[in-house]
Amino acid sequence: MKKIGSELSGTVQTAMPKSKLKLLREYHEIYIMLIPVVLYYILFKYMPMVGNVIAFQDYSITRGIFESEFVGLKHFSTFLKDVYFWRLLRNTLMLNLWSLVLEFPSAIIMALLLNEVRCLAFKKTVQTVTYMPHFISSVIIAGMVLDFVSNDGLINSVINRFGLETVPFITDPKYFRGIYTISGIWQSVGWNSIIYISALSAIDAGLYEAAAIDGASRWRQTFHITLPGLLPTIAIMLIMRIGSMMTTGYEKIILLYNPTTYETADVISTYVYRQGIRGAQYSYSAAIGVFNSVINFILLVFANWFSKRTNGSGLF
Amino acid sequence: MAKLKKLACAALAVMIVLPYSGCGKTDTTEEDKSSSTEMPKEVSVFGWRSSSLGEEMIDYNDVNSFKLMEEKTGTRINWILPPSSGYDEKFNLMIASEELPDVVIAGWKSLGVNKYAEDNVIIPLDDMKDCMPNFISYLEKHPEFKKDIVAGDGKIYYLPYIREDKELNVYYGPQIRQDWLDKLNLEMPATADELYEVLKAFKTKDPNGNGKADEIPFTCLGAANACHLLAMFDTMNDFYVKDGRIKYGFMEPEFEEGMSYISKLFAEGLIDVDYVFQDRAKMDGKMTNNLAGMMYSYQPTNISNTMAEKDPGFKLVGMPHMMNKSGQKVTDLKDYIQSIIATSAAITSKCKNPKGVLKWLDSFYSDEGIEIMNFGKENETFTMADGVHKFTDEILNNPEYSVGRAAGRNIGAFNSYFPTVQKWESYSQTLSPYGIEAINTWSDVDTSMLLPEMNFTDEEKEELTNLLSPITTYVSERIDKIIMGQESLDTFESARKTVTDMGIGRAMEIYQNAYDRYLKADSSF
Repeated sequence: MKKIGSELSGTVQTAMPKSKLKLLREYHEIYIMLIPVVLYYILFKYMPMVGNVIAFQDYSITRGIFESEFVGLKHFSTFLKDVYFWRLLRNTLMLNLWSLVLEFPSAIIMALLLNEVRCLAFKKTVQTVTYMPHFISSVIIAGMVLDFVSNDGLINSVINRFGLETVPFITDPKYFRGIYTISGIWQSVGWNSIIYISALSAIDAGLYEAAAIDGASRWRQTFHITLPGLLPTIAIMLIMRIGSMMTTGYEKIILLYNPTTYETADVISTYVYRQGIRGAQYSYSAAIGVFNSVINFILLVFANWFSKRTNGSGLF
Repeated sequence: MAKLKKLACAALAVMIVLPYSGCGKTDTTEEDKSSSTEMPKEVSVFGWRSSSLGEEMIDYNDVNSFKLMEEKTGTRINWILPPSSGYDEKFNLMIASEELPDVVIAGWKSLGVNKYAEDNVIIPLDDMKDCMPNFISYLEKHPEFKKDIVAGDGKIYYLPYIREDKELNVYYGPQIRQDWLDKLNLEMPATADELYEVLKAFKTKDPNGNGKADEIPFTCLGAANACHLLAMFDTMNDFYVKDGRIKYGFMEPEFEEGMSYISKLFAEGLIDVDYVFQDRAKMDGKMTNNLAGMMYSYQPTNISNTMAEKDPGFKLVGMPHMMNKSGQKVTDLKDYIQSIIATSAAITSKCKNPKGVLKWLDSFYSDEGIEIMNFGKENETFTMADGVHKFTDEILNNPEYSVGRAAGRNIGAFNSYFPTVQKWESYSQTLSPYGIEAINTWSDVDTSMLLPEMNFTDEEKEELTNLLSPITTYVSERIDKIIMGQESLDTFESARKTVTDMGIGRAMEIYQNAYDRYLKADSSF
């Protein structure tokens, strides 16, 4: 709060640090504007966290949070002892790692490429076309992907043309991560590049002019002006991405996987989903949610610390 | 007419006798609210919204059958009908909020009725037996349904939607292209070896006549579908019962034999290579495009109707279930024995007049109630001729709606799951001759292997979930890999050991206990 106040105070900052009360009085309109946001976070983000206590209970919907039996870490230990725990953890992390390595940079490259395009009409068309898939539901995306990679699908037809054997993309576990990640890039590259494109437009054009006068090639300009200019944005996006390493959308996986590819495709959320079909296990699902969040939180703090140490900017 | 008169007499008799029978003698120890046995003016009912209603119909009150029942009983229903996609969520919210309607229609049996009874959400109906004379007398006539109605603790909590005739449960089964069989001069297969020969001929002898070997002899939806073939080896990919003992398919030697048969079919290209990931639309597409020869699916009324115009030669028929080694037709299709489906109506603890409400619900099991719920109003939706109900053109040749939809919009027993008795005499009229023929063919089958829907306690349920999650993951992975030849049959030995280590023994024990309880439950009713 104080920080916001002092930044806003701008020119008068040179005076003695004001007391909190005085600040509050002086900028009360701004504080009032803040109230809805704070309320939103309390109501919809912090209050529901209290509901996580059901992870430590045998929650019964008829008894509610206050009367359900407390069972401590039972659900956590059930999950950790599951024979498939390590496979699920590995698959969840691997899918995220793949997307971190391939999907994350793709949006940056996309933005850099578009930045170099001079023909505005072409640039706008490419942008629109690439972020269109973002608005298509996963069900349809997955249906199209399956059609492409099925045994008589587009890709195998091309492969057959070259006289090669049909590749069982859908039923061989070693292809799953690739299919998932590449379709993910197709789905999100345009959308994710928007934030970088806007960051690029904020870079001072004077820098490019000066570089051009000094005889810097476009490559050099990209490396020495554009990328450093993007770095804070990239760092923040990367930290946030690492903060969701344990989260995978289960819809798309469920639509793409089948028992033959469980080996690489079955992740925590899909396993819990299948389990949920058999019995509504609120507490167990909550326990796994808490488990995921804790790991995410640790990764987030670590990534932030690392980013601050290496390039001086971080989320907090 | 004679039958109607009889019905009216019966109804009258019931009406006269009722006030003098037990129902009038209210239990004085009860709270004063339950002293009334009058049918209420209004009842709130939480139910299932069928998609056949269409968007412009708000609830079932405009459905012919319910309109007529309202006239007869004087009770108006306040429906609470969440759309089917949001049903579970709305149900849970309702339970958690404790704002309960009088009656809740839900899958009580699979939800675990005892839990809700213990937490005082719903009330037992045993003490009010005298308020459900029609239901009781119906059960006297059909004692085979009793076991499926009694809860784990021996009480009755709900009034079920009953599919009275066996044919009503047999809406799904194997289908084959009769015209392909005729063209290749083949007999309808009856055993595993004959089926293999037929499928082989479909593959090699070009029954669709396009000069290419593009036929898919057996198309299916996932391993679950392909595994229906296991039935002829006297096993299935699930729990089942044999001589009173619970078995789990994967652990049995018959299963291995069946899997070797299925994987042989796959290896020779007789099973759809895309079986693991295709959907129903694709599968049906292969059938209607003259590519597939056999599949397991819903009775072929729809496909036959669409194909009748396109290709008059097309003939998809219900195929008899394959015989096992001892020459008996067997099936693993559980629906076949579920006359009492899980969906049923319970009265909640918030109901102010449970006896009156029960009496009202009971009227849907009277002969008249059953007739109204199955056929609607005489001369409007049905006519009587020689004691047989016949739907009118309002249902059968409705200018606006297909038969199924017209029936859903007029007849209560279609799709509403409201507690009553559904009749084959009514349902069958909405099917094509192909559909009826298929159902008749499939009905001739031995179902002794199938387990009924059983009551598990909460603890049992939780233990089963924890045991079976890894087991089913493991087993389904093995099955697909074995069918596709990615894993050899020799791995069965070690796979069975793994499943044993995962605790299948304990899971079978829980099933056995529940099954034993089910068998014993009968006497306490």
